[in-house]
Amino acid sequence: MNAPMQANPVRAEQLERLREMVGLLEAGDDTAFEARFAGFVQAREQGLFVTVGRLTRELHDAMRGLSFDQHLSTLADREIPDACSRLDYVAKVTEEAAHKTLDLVEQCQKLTQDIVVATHDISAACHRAHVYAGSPYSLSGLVVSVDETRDHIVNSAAQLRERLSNLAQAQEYQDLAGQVIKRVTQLVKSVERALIDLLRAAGGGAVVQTRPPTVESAAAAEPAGGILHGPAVSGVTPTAVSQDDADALLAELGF
Amino acid sequence: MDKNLRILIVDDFSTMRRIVKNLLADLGFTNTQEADDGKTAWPMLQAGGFDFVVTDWNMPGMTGIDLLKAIRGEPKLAGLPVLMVTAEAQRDQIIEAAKAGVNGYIIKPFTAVTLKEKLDKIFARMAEAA
Repeated sequence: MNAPMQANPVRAEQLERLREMVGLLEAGDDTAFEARFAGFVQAREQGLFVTVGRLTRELHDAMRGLSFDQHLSTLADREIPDACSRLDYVAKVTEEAAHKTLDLVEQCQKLTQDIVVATHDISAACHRAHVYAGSPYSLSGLVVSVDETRDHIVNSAAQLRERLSNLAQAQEYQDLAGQVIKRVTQLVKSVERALIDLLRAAGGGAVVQTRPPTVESAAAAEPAGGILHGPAVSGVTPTAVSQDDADALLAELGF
Repeated sequence: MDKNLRILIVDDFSTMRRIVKNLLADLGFTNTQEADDGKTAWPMLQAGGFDFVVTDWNMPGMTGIDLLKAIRGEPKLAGLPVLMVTAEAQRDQIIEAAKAGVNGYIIKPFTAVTLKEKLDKIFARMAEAA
């Protein structure tokens, strides 16, 4: 046990100092013990400060050397606020879609109620025809009532159908929100990779420089064929055009 | 217009495929099939029998623009009408699609009216050309 300890000069010195302190304690020399002990702790603390200082300098050098500071500042200055704007967009489209869906559901409920009322009208007309059976007007009255009510029901059904189509259309938010969320997920992954690289660099281990990808490069990495922008998010993709602009552009190109 | 037209809907989001399918059904086009990206769509198109393609742009595997280029590059498919329905809304992208030979370009989010307008326009041009 003693051999390897004594082979290390720092350990041997520490052991010597500790033995001296034990000796002082046993001899009852508290004042001398306190002085030695304080000196011992101070030496340890100074070592710690030196180590922290060295690590900080190494981290700084590593960041400069690998341009991490630049990549991280790009992520912090541009990519993260962009991601926040994109998530705000997701919140906005999902809220709009939810309201639109609920509005349409309420309108459909009203229309089904109209149809129920119309069938009650037919029942009432049948009842009148039955009561006044034999009267020359009973049958023609029934026919008029049924005709009117039928038109009413056909009209309600057409309105219901239109609203159901609009309901289906309202679900398009899922595609747009989904595309945006995928992009933000890629950004989060790139931030994670950048931080891991930074930790590796700080730890003094083998540093593999992996340039943290931006949202654009991450998006481009997935599908083949150039940089894609995804859904137009105001403030983030200011160069996006509207359907009317697109139509005008295509018309210019002879479409 | 022949309502029995066989239409291939290509989009990686199943919700959007269902929406487009639903809108087309509303317009009377019920003979539709779906593919989740260009890679899946390509062998389906090569197998033949499709009269119209509605495709997204941004998809994993094979994008809509690459699918369009592949269609135009394949002699037996080169004349197939392609309508792009995409969230990609940059001027240069619309120009790229036009150069690649797209027949119509719809930017998401879109309305049923826009879809009908673009389909009518494509069919009218096809009728003119015929």
